[in-house]
Amino acid sequence: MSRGAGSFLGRRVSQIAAARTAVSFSLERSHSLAGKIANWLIDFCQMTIGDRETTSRLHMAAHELIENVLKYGSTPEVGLEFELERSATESIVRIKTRNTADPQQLEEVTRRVTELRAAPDPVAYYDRLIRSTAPVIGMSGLGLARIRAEAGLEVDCSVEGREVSIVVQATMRSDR
Amino acid sequence: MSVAAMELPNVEEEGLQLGPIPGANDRVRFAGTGEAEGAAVLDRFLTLLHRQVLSLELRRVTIELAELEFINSSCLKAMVAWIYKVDTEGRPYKIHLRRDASMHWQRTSLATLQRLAPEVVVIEET
Repeated sequence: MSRGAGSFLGRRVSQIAAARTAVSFSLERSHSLAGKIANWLIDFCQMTIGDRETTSRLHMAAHELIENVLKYGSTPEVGLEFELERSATESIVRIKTRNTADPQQLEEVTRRVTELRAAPDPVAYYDRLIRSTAPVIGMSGLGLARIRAEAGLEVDCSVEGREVSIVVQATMRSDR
Repeated sequence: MSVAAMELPNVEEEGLQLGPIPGANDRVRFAGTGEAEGAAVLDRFLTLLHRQVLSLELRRVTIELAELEFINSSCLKAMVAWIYKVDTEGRPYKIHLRRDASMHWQRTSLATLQRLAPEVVVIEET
């Protein structure tokens, strides 16, 4: 099925509770859509959290995550979710992607995220990764480490069967 | 003494606009947004730029980045590969990156590039 930018399947916008908003998409793999979706997501984010700095960090994360699912997903359909939880003291923004992948890819992403989370200094880890991949033609593999080091966001992943979910989270203190 | 101008194409592909700045022999401008498909475009342009800078024996090249809205890690990797090459092949020239510090990603990503090769990369404000 292909209906251009309107081809999102199972589009769902739900007010789950007064303090929690979630948006989820399932979408067909299309690199041309990646930037548009990331920009839309960030426009939505800017409207809901109104914090330019955090929005910029999430913008980076959204681009990297969407590129990853489009690059590594093994089936046409991938998922993207945006979630905002507010309480009196803080707001938590989560961006979650999910896609199916080959067993080798699942193992690789799990290894990378585990390594990244275990690194005591995310910037030093990122710098080492950059230096080690710099002479390797064509390979990036920097996206998740960039999210952690440059955007300063928490990164986690889980695997269920052949599906991997990656979650990026930003926590902000509420100003109200 | 006049210095020959760089002969670089103006490239508009995959959301990126890359090209020389008219009247400036050692300056180029990057604009737009670089997604995954833009990495090969950027890589090709940087290869041409590197050859030009070497053949003209320039001691520095300046990249104007103020209109570069965002690049993802694939495009950043193209920059990394170029900077690494300059850094490990005798540092024949310096790379001046002119950023717009109001863009968060430029602050963090250009700092990353400078940490990779502090003897080569100079960050300037627009």
